[in-house]
Amino acid sequence: MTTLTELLSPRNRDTLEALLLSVLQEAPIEGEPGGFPVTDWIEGGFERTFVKMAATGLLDREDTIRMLTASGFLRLASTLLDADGNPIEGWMEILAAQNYGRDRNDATYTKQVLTLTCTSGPGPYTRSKGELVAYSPSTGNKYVLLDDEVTIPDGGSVTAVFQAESPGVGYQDSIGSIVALVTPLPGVSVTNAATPAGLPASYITGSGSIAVSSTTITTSRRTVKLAFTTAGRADDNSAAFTCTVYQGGAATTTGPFAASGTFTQGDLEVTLTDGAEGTQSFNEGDEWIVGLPGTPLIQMGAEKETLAALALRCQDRFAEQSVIPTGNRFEGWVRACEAAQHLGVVKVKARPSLTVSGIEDVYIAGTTATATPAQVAAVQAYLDEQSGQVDYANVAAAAAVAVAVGGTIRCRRGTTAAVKSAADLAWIKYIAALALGGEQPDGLVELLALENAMHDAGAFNATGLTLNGTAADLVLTAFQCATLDESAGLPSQGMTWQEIA
Amino acid sequence: MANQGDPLGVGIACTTGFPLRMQLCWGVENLQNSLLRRLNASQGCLASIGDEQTYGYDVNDLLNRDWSGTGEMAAEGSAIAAELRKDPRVQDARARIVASQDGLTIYIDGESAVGPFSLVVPVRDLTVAKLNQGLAGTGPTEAV
Repeated sequence: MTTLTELLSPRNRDTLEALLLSVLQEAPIEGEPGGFPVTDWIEGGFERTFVKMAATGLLDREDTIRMLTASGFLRLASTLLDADGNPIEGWMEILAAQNYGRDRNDATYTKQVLTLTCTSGPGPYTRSKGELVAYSPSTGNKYVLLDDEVTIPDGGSVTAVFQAESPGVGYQDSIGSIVALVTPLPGVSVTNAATPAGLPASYITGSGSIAVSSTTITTSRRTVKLAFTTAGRADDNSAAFTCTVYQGGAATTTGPFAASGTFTQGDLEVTLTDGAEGTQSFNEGDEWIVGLPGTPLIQMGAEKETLAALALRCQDRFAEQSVIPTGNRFEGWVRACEAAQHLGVVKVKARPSLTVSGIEDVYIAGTTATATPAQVAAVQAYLDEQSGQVDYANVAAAAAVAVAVGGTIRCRRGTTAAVKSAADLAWIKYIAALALGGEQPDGLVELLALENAMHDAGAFNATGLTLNGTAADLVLTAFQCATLDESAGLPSQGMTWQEIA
Repeated sequence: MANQGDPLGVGIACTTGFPLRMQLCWGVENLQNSLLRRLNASQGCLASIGDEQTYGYDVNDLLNRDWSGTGEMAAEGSAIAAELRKDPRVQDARARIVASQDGLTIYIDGESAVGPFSLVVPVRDLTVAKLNQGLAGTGPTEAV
């Protein structure tokens, strides 16, 4: 009986030819066993050519058998390769769509909030979606206006959402680097500036509201959540809330605090405003979440979903059968959220809260950056809709560990620009593919991966390679995410480049 | 009965296309058939089934060529002889091309393990055929 292993191991041409020849030699002809009389097996002979033709046909069929067999199993279908080592994607996509009801996620776009400022005189300007294109002079990456319409006031400024020209992970533009318009408007400047706070996610069911009132741009990246534990108003100090700070993979809850006009948490200052007199401004369970600082990055683009990730989402189907939400189930919901909303959240890891029973801490990140406040808020909202009755999730951005690369790269004369470009892309893809907590089981960002990226890109020689200044693998803890260092995250930025003859 | 110990081998008798009658041949005739198949195959035509990229030299390509002189014909003759020597049964081979109004004729003389052989190959429009199967060792044929 043929085993699964045999079905997955196509026989090669030599084996098939030997099989056919053995049949010819043993088959009885005119009643005589072994009666096949041909002895001429030199190239071009009729019999040899005929046997090889049959073997060629069978060889093709052997590979079809392998693919058909693998296509029935998630892990096998997601790792199918063709003869050149390229992934075969069709089988896995059909399996996911027809057996699990999962469609593969398309690549997503990087989105940033850009600030457009006009001097007094030449404005105002009104432009519609797609009519403004900004770019980064250092990378050449272009971003197209995504808002339906934006008016840049004369002598003032406005913010608008811009989307990368193409999807994928190639749009690594740091704060303050997108500073030019492809078609300049007189008097108008553009930048992707940081702000004191991101756009807050507000789940206030009462008549009151909360707004950021601080002006300081912090360097301490964190997410702050105010959760009301007692209903009431601010003017009579009857409402109370707790404050939870998510930072570096840890959550710290303080309070409850009485809701009165202004509340500060570090450099964050928020103002609580009551609704109409006589109404209840805040209800128990109301929440307000904000990310600090306010990065212009709304979401980092991602490549088309990998087959391994698609297989994982298919497996999430089983976790969904559980009545009580489990960590795996929350992770599955986050992946489902990404499939539905294309937020650019491609990394997730959950664990039960270490401090509060019944709470699941869910850490998320994008491809080469941790999650933005907007992403955290969107995922939190999605999970709130899914859970809530039995268990509850707290979503936080995974702690970012910026990775700076170093070393000396030598290239053949005239090839440096091409090698730099290829090396940057290869390194971005490596970081983007790293799960939260690095390569398992040891949680590594591997120095060898950097060396491979350099050589695959066509470098002649790579010496003195380092990650964050050390010639060793970088070790991440379970809920950390590797990101690209602002100034030396890419090989073209952080390495010394030399040309040789 | 086929001589299965023949040093030049026993094969199905055919020179072009699929043989409608599966007849065996051996000896020099089998060798000549092999050589004719070589000269009627474009180079690399067997690569797709796993054979050598260098197999084949299609003499039909020599038709309608504007020959610049006997030097060019001699060069082609050498190339044909080299192709024939790729067959391990051919110890030596020489080829001479003669042009006429009807087309070309290739005269081949060679040495095999069992002695000398010769072959005359008329090349006409889209046709290569044996005119003379040789002087020595011609074997009989029989149906499989």
